[in-house]
Parts: sequence; C-alpha cells; structure tokens
Amino acid sequence: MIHDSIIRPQLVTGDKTLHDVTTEICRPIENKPTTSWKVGFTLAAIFLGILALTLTITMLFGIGTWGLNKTVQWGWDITNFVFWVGIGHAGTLISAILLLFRQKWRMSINRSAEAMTIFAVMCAAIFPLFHMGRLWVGMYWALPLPNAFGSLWLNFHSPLLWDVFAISTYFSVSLVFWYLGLIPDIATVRDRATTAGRKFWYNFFSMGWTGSVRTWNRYEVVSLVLAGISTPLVLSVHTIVSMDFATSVVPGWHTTIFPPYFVAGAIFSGFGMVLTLLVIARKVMNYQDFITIGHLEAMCKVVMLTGTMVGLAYITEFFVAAYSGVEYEQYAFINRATGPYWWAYWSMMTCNLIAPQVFWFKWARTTPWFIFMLSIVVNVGMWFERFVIIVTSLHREYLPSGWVMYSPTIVEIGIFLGTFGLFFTCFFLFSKFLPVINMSEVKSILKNRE
Amino acid sequence: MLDKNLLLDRNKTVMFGIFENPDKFLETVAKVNAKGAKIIDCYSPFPIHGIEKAMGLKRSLLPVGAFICGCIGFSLAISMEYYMMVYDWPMIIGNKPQIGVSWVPVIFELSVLCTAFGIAILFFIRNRMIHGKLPAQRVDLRQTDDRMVIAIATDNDIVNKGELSGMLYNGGAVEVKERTNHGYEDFEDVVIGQANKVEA
Amino acid sequence: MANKQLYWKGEEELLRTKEFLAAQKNEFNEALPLDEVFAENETLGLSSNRRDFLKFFGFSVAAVSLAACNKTPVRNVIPYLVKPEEITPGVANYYNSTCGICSVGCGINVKTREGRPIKIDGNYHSPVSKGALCATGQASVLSLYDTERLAGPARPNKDSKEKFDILEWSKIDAEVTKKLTEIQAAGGKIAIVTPTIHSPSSLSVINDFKTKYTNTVHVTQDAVSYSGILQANRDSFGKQVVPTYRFEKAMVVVSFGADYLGTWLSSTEYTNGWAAARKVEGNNKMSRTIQFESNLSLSGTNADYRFPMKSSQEAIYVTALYNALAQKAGVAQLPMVQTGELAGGAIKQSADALWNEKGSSLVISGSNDPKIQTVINGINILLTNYGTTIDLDNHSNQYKGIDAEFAQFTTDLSNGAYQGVIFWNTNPVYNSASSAAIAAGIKKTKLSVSFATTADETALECQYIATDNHYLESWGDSEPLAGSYHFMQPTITPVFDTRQAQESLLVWAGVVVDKSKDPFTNKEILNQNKDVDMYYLYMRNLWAAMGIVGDEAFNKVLHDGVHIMPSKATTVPAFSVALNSIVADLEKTIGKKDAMDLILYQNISVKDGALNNNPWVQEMPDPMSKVTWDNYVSLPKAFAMSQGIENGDTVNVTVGNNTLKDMPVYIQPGQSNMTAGIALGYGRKGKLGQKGLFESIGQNAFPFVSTQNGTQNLVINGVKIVKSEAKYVLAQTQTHHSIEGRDLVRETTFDKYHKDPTAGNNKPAPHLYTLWETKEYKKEGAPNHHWAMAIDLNSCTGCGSCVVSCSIENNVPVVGREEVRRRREMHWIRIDRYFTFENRNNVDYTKELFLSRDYEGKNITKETGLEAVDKLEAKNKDAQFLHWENVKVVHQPMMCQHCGQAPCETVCPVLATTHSSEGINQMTYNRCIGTKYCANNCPYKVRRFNWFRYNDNDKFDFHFNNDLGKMVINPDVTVRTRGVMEKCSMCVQSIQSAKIKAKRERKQLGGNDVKTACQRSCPAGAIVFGDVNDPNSEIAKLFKNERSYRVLEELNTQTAVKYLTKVRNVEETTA
Repeated sequence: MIHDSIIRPQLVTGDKTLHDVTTEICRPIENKPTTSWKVGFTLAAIFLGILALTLTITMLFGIGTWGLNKTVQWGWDITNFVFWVGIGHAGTLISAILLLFRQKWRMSINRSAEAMTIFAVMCAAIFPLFHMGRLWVGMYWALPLPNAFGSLWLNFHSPLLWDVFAISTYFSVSLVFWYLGLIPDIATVRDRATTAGRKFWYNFFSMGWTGSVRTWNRYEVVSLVLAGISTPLVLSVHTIVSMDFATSVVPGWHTTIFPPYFVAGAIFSGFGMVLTLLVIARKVMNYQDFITIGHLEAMCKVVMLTGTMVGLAYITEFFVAAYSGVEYEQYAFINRATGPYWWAYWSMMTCNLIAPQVFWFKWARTTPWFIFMLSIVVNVGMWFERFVIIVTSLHREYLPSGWVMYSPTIVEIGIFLGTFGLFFTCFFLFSKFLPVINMSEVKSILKNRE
Repeated sequence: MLDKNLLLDRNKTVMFGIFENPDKFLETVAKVNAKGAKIIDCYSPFPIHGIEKAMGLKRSLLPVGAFICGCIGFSLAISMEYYMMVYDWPMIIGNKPQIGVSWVPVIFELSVLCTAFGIAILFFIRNRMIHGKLPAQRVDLRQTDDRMVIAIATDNDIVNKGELSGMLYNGGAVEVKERTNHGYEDFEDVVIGQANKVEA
Repeated sequence: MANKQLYWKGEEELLRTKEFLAAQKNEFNEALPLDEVFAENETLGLSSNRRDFLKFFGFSVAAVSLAACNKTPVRNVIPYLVKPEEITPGVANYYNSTCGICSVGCGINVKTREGRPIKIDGNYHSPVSKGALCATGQASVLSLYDTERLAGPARPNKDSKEKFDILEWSKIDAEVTKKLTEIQAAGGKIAIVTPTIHSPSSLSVINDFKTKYTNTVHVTQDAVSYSGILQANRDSFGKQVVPTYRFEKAMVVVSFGADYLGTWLSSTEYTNGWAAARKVEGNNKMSRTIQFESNLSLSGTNADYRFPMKSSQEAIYVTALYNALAQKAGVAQLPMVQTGELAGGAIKQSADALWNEKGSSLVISGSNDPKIQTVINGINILLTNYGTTIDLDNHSNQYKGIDAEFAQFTTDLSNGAYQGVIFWNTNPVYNSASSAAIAAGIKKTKLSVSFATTADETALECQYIATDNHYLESWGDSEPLAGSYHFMQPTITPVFDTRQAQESLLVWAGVVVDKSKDPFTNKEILNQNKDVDMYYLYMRNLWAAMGIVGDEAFNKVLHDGVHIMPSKATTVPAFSVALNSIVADLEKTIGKKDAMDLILYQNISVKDGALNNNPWVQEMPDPMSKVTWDNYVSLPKAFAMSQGIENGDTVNVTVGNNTLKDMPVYIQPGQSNMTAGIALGYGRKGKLGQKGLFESIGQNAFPFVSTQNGTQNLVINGVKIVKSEAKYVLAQTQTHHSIEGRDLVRETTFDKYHKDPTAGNNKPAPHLYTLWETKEYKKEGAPNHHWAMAIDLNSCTGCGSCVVSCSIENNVPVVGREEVRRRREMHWIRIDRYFTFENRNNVDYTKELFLSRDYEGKNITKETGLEAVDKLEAKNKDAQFLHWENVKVVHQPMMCQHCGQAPCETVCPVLATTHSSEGINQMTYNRCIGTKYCANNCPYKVRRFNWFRYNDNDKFDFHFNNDLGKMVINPDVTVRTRGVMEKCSMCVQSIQSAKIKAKRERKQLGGNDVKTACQRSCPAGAIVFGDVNDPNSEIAKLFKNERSYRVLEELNTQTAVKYLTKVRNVEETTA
C-alpha cells in the first residue's frame, strides 16, 4: 500500500521479507545473551549499586551529605532532574508528533525511544524524591490525600505540585502508549515461543492478540488519539518543569521565555540521547538495515535545529535582561558569563549552540562514530545548561551578604552516576526481553512487494 | 473479536484462506466481500491500510469514549481544586486569590491522564483483551509473523464453497482450510488443499 | 553521654548502696503482693473462680501502678529555694538579678520555666544595662547547665592532671581551716585574688576573713585592666576611679582606640547613651563620633569619621589634639619632639568639632597607659567636659584593678612570700602574661584554693577547688555605679553540690550569723535550715544596717533588682598635673613607625575568655569579620600583599620569645597599615573543641600582653609576622563584603536630613503592579492585629546581641565550625555587613596616606611627599592597597521580612508555610517535607534548613544535646528535626502568651505589649515590634516615618519589616 515509496530511499534496506523482519528482530530475545550484552549489563548493574549506596547514605544522615548550603539549596539534584526529564522527551515526541506528521522513518526507532523515555523519567523521578528533607513523609504528603492535619490539603499555586501531576501523568501515559505498541510484537514472540517460560509470559502480556483486522482498526484509532493527547502532554511537561523556575522571583529564573526554551532544549537533549543509544544499538545488535544512516541523518537535522533554537534562547535571555533595566537580572546574566562559574556557561554555549552547527555538513550527519561523539557533546552541554540556570542564578542573588559558592560532594556525584546505572540496566533488560524495533510497523513499510 | 461467529455457534462452518502477500490478500478480500460472502474476520501481522474498507467495516467509536473520559478528568480536577483550595480549608498563600490560573496545569494533566487511561481501558474491553487470555481463534501460528488469514462463514448459501475456495486460490492463498465447530474450543480443521506457491 | 552519672534517682543510686544495686536487678524495686495472692490461691486449690480473677486483676493493676511509680522523671525536677508566690506549669516566672560574668554587673531579668532559668534579658530598672544585655551575658545562662562544671568541692587528682576527686564539704572545710590556722599561727601571708569586686557584702566578707587571718591581702586582677584611667584620675584629680561617661550628653565623641560600643568598660550602657544622642527625630542636633584606631572596631564601623591610626604612636596624635585645642584655648602647648597629623587633617578637624561643642563633647582613649590617659584628662579639662559628659562624683566601680599591685603580688608569689592563696572568680594562670610564674608560685604555697566552677587553668594548679555556685544560683549585691546597688538572687537551687564562695569564706573565717538576732520577721525563710541561708542572712543584716529593714523593703529591692540612691551633685574637679612633666614618659610610649604593631583586643562575643566554652558565644559571628569559632590575625591588605599572604593562609606571630604558630589570617578591610590584631580570650580548653575535653578553640594571646609605664599594655610595637606553610579556612557567615551598589541600605547625612526628612529615602517609588488587591489585616468587630517590625539603621551598631538572644529564645541549633564553613549556620537573624572603601576628597589616596605615614617631623611638601611615594611604590608593589585601611561600613540586621505577598508561600506544595490572619509568615514545621523551594525563592535568604539532625546528635553536641544542657531549651518553641525548614517567627510564642495575659486581665492587647527577643536584647533600641493596626503603637508611627523604607520594595513583597534610613553626621564636602 506504500504508493509514495518509489522515489524515496528505502526506510528499511536489505530487501527483507516479512519473515526476515520477524526472525531478525526476535533474534536477541530467542538467543542466549551475547558477551557484549553481558559486559554492558554488569557494568550498568555496578553503577546501579552505586546509586543504591549513595541514596542510602543520604537517607541515613540527611541532605547535609550533599554540598548544598543556606543560599544554594538546589544544586546537582535538580540539575540532574531537569536533565533526565529533558532526555525523557524524545521518545514520546518521536512516536507521537512524528506519527501525527506521518513520518514513517520514525517506525524503526520509536520503540527504543519510548523505552528510553520511560527509563529516563524513572531516573528523573529519583531526584525530586530524594532531594526532599523528609522523603518518608514527602512521598505521600505531596499527593491530595486526607491527612491528620485536619485535613490540610495541597497548594495548587505551587509549581512543584504541578510537577507532581505532570511527571506522574507523563510517565503513566508514556507507559500505556509504549505497552499498546508492544502488544502485537509480544504476540509475535508468543507465537514463535519454544520454551514454556516464554510461552507463558509473552502469552500473559500479549492479552490474547490475534491480529484481527477489527482490532487493528481500533488499534490504529487508539494510537492516533494517544498520539494526539501525548503531543500537548509532552510539551506541557517540560513547560511545567520550566515553571519551577519561571514562576519564582530569582533573577535568572524569572523569565517568560523559559517554557518554549525548555521544550526546545528537551527535544535537543532527547534526540541527543536517542542518537547515542541507537548508534550503539544498531552496531551491537546489527540492526543497520532497520536503523539506517537515513534515520540518523534525519535525527541529526532535528538536533541541529533545536540546538540553534536553544542558542537563540540564550542570546534572547541576555537581551531581555539588558532591556528590562532590572539591575539584579542584568547582574545575574553578566555573572553567568563572567562570574566564578563562567566555565560552565561557556561549555554550555560551545556544546549546545556551536557544536551542532557541524551538522550543516552531510558528512557529519552521515558518519555514525562522529554522530556518536557529537551526541555525547550535546548531552554534556544540556547538563551544563541546567547547572548554569540553577546554580549560577542561586549563588548570587539579591542580597550580596548571602553570596556563596557551591560544589557537589562525592555523594551527589555518586547519585548522578548511579542514575546512569539505573537507566542502562533497564535499557539492557529491555533489549534482551522485548523487541527493540516495532515489527508490525516496520512490516507495514517493507518494500519487497512488486 | 467476534468469537461467537467464529467459534461458539454449533455446526457453523468457516473457511480460512491463508495468504503470504499483503497486496494479493487485500485484493482477494475486496473480491470476496464484493461477492457478498460473509467475511467473519481477517488476520494480519501488521495493519493493512484500506482493508477495513475492503471488508466494509464501520469507523470505531472509541474516540467518543476518549472524549467522555477527558471530560470526567476535567471536572474531577476542577472539583478537587475547588474543594481543597476554597471549600474545605481556604488559606492565605502569598496573598493570592484561591481561584486562579494556577489551577490550569493540574486540570490539564488530569484530563490527559483520564483520557489516556480511559481509551486504553475501553480498547481492551471492546476487544475483550485481558492479561493471559489464550487467543483460541488463532488459525495459523504465523498469522502474527508473515501470514494473512481471511475467515469466511460458509454455513449460508450465498456463495458455494467450491467457488469460494477457487476464488481464494486464484487470489493467491497458499492454503485453504475449512473448520467445523462442535463447541467452544472444540473444532476440527480440514485442509481443503495446498496451493503450490504462486510466487515460487 | 559522659555526664549520665550526674543524675541520680535518689541518694541510694548516688551512693550505690548494696540494697539499691540488689533492688535494681528486680523488675520492681518494691516488693509486690505476689505471695498473698498465690498463698490464697493454694488454699483455694487451683480451681480459679471469680474472686481469683478479681485478685489477679487487682494484682496486675497493683503491679502496673508500682511499675509506673518506679520510673519517676527525677532528672530535671529542681526544688525551689524560696517558694515563689505562684508556679503554674507552662507559665514563666521572671526574677530580677545581676549578671555575674564580667565585673560590669548589668542588671538582668531572668525568665524561668518550671524553675529552670531559660533566658536572660536586661533589667530596665538598672542604670547599667538599661533593659538590654550583651551577647555574652545572655549566653551565660547555658554555663549554668554546663556539664564541665565540677559537681562539688574537688581536689586535683595526684596521678593525672586532668582528673579530680570530688570531696565532702565538711572534709574540705576542715582541711582548709586547719591549714589557714597554721599559716596564721606561723604569721604567713595569705592572698585573696579576685577581679574587681564592687559588692558591699562580698567586700565585708573579705574583711571578716582578714580580721580572722590578719596577714591576708586582697589582690584585684582584671584580665583586661583599666589601670591607666584609674591612675590618671588619681594623678589628675586625686580620685582613683573610672568616671561615668555620659554619651547621651556628648555631641562630639573623639575616641582613640576605645571601642565604647563594643567591649570598652560598660559598653551596653554607653551604646544606649550613644543611640540617644544620635536620635534625629525632632532634634536639630545629632552627636558626631570620630574614631582613631588600628583594628576595625564596632565603634569604628559606626563612627561618622574613622581615621586609621598606628596605635603605638597614639601619644603623638593625642598630644597633637591637645596642642590644637590648647591653641584655641590659648594655653601652653606641649613640647613634643614628634607631633603629627593624620590623613585628611583628621586631628585639626576633630579639634574644630570638639571646640564647637565645648562642654558637651567627650574625648576617650582605649590606651591603658596612665600618661596618655592623663593627656586625655587634660583635653577634657580644656573642653570643660567634667561635670557634663564625664562624671567623677557618681563614678563607676566596675574596674578597680591596679596592675602594679597585681604585678607585685605575682613577684611575691613566685618568690614564695605567700603561704596561702585563694583565687576567686579569676584565672591568672590563663589570662595574665606571667602565667608560668604564677603557676610556679602556687606550688610554693602551703595552701592554694580556687573557687572556680569549672576546672580552669588556675584551679588545675591549686590544692583545693571549693566549687562556687553559678551566679544564677547565688545571692549577692553589687554597686557597679556609685550609689546604684544591684541585687543578685538565686533563680534555681544549686544544680550540683556547690557552695557560694562568700559562704565558704565565712565558714573558714568562722563567722556565725546569729539567727536569733535577725532583724526580720519572716521565720519561714529561716526555717529552711540550709547552709546558703548563712550568707543570705549575712547580706540581709548588712542591708538592714544600710537602711533596708524588714521583708517588705528587702523584697522590693529583690523585685526591682536595684536600689538607687539619689545621685550626688556633679562638680568640676581641679586638674593637678603639669603635663610638661609627663612628656618624657609619653615619648617613651611611641613605637617605631616602620615596625609592625600588634593590637590585642577583646572581641564582642568571647571577650576575655570567661565564656570561651559557650557554644552561643563561639558561633556568634564577629561583627566586623563575620568569623566564628576562632581567633585570627587581622592584617591590613597592603602588608598581606607585600608578604604574599591571602585569606586561608596562616602565619607565625612572634613577640620577643613568645610565638603563636599557624595563626589563621583574616585580611581585614579597615585594619590600619603596619598594624595587626589578635583577639584575647581564646585558646582555652573545653569540650567544645569537639575532640575531647582538652582541645582548645583558637590560640591564647595573653602571653603577648606587656607592661608599659607600669600598666598592662595591649599595644605591642615590633611584632614579627611570618607566613607559615599550614592552611586554615576560617568559618565565616558572610564572604562577600561589597553591597554592589544595590539599594539595600539607604543613607543620608544629617544636614540633608535636616533640610528634608525624606533625604536618601526619596527615590521615586517603583511601579508596583499586582493582579489582585493587597490584603488588609482588619476585620470589622474583631480586634485584628497586623504585627510588624521596624529597624532603625541609624541606631543599630551591629553588635550581634540580637543574634544570640534570638538563638536562645527560639532554640536555634548551634551547628559548629565545620557546618559554618559550609555556610549552614542556622541564625534566624543575621547582621549583614558591607564595606565600601572611601576615597576622601578624591585625592590619590595612596599618596595622601603615605604622606601621613611617612611623617618626618618636618612639614613635608607635596613634591617631597610624591617622590617619597614613588620610592615606596618602587620598593613595594602593595602601595595601591594602602587605602584599604579607610573603610566605610554599614550594618543591616536581616531576618524574615514576613512578606505580605510572600514568594516562599506560593511555592510550597504542601502548605507548610502560609500567612496568618495577623500578617505573620508562619512555618508549620511538622508539615514541612523539605523541598527547599521556599528558601530558593526567598529574596532575603533568611530561611534555614536542618541539613542534619542537630539535636540529640553526638556529632553536634554543643552542650545542649545532653540531658543537663537540654534544660535551657525553651519549652514554648518546637525543637526542629532533620529535613525541615525554619526561620524567624517574630517570636510568635511571645505574641500568644501576651494575648493570653491580656485575656486574663480582661483588656485589649495593646500595640506595644509584645516584645520580640531581638528587640528586648538591643542596647540601642534599634528594633521596634508591634501592631500597626493600633494607631497609638510606636510601630504605627515608625511605619509613617519619612525615613522608613522596605528592602527590595520593587519586588512588591509587601514586607512587614521596615528599615529606617541611616543618618551619618558628616560634612557634605567629605561625605
């Protein structure tokens, strides 16, 4: 039914038959794990251990084990939170928005992108939870539950509360979206299953899928609707995250440009991370035919675009600060660029604004190893962006008497590294037990039909 | 899924045509449908666009359900915020009015949440999908891999079986089966004939 | 905890009798009625019936109740000495008494809860404290509950110097009396060494002791002495007294290194007077203060003009001032080889200012040199200040120590001239330069007794420690100012088995107060036959003799805490010194100008080190450097640059053969070039060191103290300061010192203010847009309050008394040096201090200053000066930093501003911080989940987070985490747990109790009826709290005051705290 596909380059190369697709994508699930998988997984698990350790320390002794002080009361914790949430955006974005735009090239990457979303949001959630002084009560006091305070409800003026709703909604909706997409493929694995265990579990999760056209029909409708609501959702989430800062009075936070700027940044960092993962994945699991250079190139273009948007935002901020005539605002931005944290600011600028510009060159867009390097640069840059926004704004505020410096402790660093452990552990498990590429969708775009 | 047509009714017979080429499959389905034969259902490993037309299916009403769920979420959020901020225990918070734009984010999020979960649940209900359910009406293990199946009710004399099977073969079916129901989950499939692959 | 054994459930436990130990093994100490129950059971056989059930039931009830009786919380139940009129649990009682920490003797008001003193404020009856109290005095309440106090009379352990054997009083009395009589028989000399004592009864006790032991001498030693003033006044006027200075009358104050707002003499009293003289409302005059000094002192930061001076050359400038005035007065000038002038014509300027205010001016000097003080007297005579601003007739008794006498005693002691020595409330082994000699001397005596309450350095050398009471456990009287008597009454019975020193002396002197002959009717008091009654009666007898007869009268003076005699008429004394005769001695005092000066000083918090082991004192930031928990060498930038020294480095400080190794450095803006400062009072051992009892905080600088013209000298010329390898980070609460030109502190000059009261405060009001109308805290009918606070920057000296007061009132945790280094101090109120360097007259400052430095005794022209400057700049690069010694300072108290439109409230997800209907921004501690967002969103950065569990945490055991120390906790205020935010509550507990009081008295709560802790403690009355809804309240008036403004008003936070513009009394040209 692909009528437009004669001129365009093929989205899936190597003249696959439907059966080839199935076998190749199911291979990792049905075969024993490869050594590279084992090595990677162990490594990730070790970092996961570090996460457990550092979080335990924090809980035992208190947030005092972090480098925060009376002036900078958010440091690496919220930096990492925003960082991970940002990464978490690409998934839903790719599957939802690109679906609405009928971008067929998304089909071979959206599964892993969505998985990445879910894992990233899990990592992100750790920080707002554990940065609370009293996690043990905060976990449920932040929800609208009746309580023994008579009962004292919640403050719907607070952006933090918006966060609670936004993040949890985003997480659960992404999960539903992802799972729905998985069902047909799980059914495929089920029907190929040879071992009892696999038979049972994949049958359990496939929910009796048979591939009836009637179901497919509704399925298409549902995914369309979900895509429809996920699109504003994905935009709203980072908008709300940005409001944590935008609604405050802190010079450098108190900016109306934040919502669009944060969303652009989120897409930017999200695609960065997707690139990092896929460049590895396609090599390790040799999916070169499914995740083609074409896919990478398309994503590189997005990265370049959003990177430039973010860069524009940085410059606009400066202009607005200067134009506002508010001395505190002006100082905040001068201090960013020239103050004690200048290095953070300039590494942000280089990584996010300047570096992506190389994607104007086709070679850069089409050379996997180079893309990989650059995707790392992008991730680093986006981390620095959050650090710059949070720490350099806080450490020198209105009253000079309170000006301080902030540096993280080993515990904070441990937690950050640990979240990478969590992320990759999940990702490795996913790549072992679930089809990394959406088979049914890929099948629908095969070109080996006369 | 229309289990009963396919499985439950005693002494119904169903003819299956099993295809490997989506395009031929689609054409055949269209032909059969045009002939007036009662197509019970078709099965394919991936969504084949246009087949619902070929089968003459109606558009799903799920979006309506989704909308209703959304409205529920919307009103839920508003009533919750009103109860908590205004009715039950109003407080002075930064001298802001209790009712304000600051309600919007939560309203939005709750609406989206309810819509998403609502439509997902409705979808499962409508399809009678549940965790661990055995897809009894699976005709061919490869129908989720690379084969398409058409199921036609043959217990009426709109089209006689011979003509039908012929149609399927010419349509490019790799296999045609006939099934007789004896009761739920109790049936026998009779392979009418194997076509030597058209493509081969 | 180490002090567990201090609490016993009864004698048995204390004495650990066999019975007790045996009983402890049982579940129930008392025997339980088991046997009856079971015996009866046997008779009935095992068939149990209803009656059995009842029996068993009864038994179990009995058992439970017995078990309940068994654990009685004896720990903090302390019986009353004299039963107060009413004790209602939960209601505080207040007693007026007198502070016993230093010999200034401020009248205090002690707040007790359930018999525990928990807060000390000033007694407004007292002419010394005038209702306020210094930080050190307030903190002293914790030393009452100090676990380092000796639990009874003790004797240093033979084997280990750090241990003590607690004795019985009877035993120690017997031994001491025996030795005393032997000494008396052998005609040996006995010395009683005390700081200045102005207590009539104590003095008479000493006299009684003398009559018994005839060879007894009473030696007075003041750790930081004012011998110079005493001797100068003896020479000049024949009165060996410290005069009373009336700062409220002084329109011009010129001070040479006297920190009269900080630690000089009776600073609380002076601050009060100073503030009065600087009130601008409705006055067409305002006092002008001029300060010449080396270290940046509190007085210096608040002076209208501050001129850096090299203290070792003070004589030059004092004489120069004398001559300048002599010229005006037409008297002979002093023939000095060196005379001088400071930068910007400082001396001339001061002379003019003083002469204009002839008769209502005041010149003082911090020098302890009698000769310099004599010249000062001469100056004040020229200015006819005696009888107006200086009162010799109603003089002060606060300091009487003559250094020569103490020096004599020291030599005699070390020569073994004394057989017996008694140290009372003094610690010369620590706080005198000749500590080694004294320590050796003590060993030579037959009897050496110390009355120390803790095992201080001197006590460790003595044979006996007849442990004294804490002053809050003691009776007493005092006469700090001639004619105004202060009374001391116990607010708690002795926590330990201690006895008042006077009591001990009376016992040893064998004095018996005949109770039958007492002039009082109140037998009830006599019936409690306690030892302490003896001195109590002794004192009452004395007072009866002085005219306070009968309980009525005595209770009144106890109630007021003071008894003021009509003051004498002031006279102008005759000045009887030929100043020419002392010129030679003056010349001797002048130090070399190219040699570094070391100025030893007392800082605001630790003072002479008596309370060195008090955490509140240690954590209180120094007003100038904001350093806590350490003393340090404050160096001028220029010198530091030339030596390549930076903050964080350490130096070795050497004078003669004394060296302090690795002293941390703080480069102090305002420190005069070629001078350095070190605070006294540090380097004492104590638990606060955190690493066991014997780690000290800071280093002891007393060994540096020298003698000059026969008096203690704290200005040492020619100190060697060498950079050392070690690094040390000082724990500072503020590390950024420039205000960055922000409109936070508004200033004006008096002339401008006089023309236009809104001067300095007439910036165009910012356009404040708001989406909704601001709340009015008024409802029809109900008496609605709107609590608010005003802070007069013109009165605030930045002394930090409020910081400590707030900490005590609100149980603010002490977090220790390490946490302060991490910038996590918890103070609810802090004092922001900003420096600006002033370039007076827009001249090239370095050169100007250099001219003043490089004075050659001859009039030096600009040209010669300039080439000299070039020479200097050629040989040291740091010349451009010379002007760092000229610094302008502002202090700004900063606490929660209780914003009407609070940024913190809107961002808290769980409503842990909300606004009260009375305009207070309130924290709900137990709702807080610690997101810290409120703190980030607070423009004033006044919110404090509990990073760790600071209470009940051995890591943060600063004396009130242990059972004894906890007694100081204010029961009205929650002790915050880990992970919650806290901040200033505007002492909401005081508001509540005031409301209850008003309700009980059936009257409306007035706008001035509530006083916050910071307000109560402020000696300058800079803080005013009240209800702006009450039009008659002081606060309502201040909110309408032209000087009032809000910090960061443009944020439209609608704060409930307003500041009043600072007014400097300076000439326009030099401003």
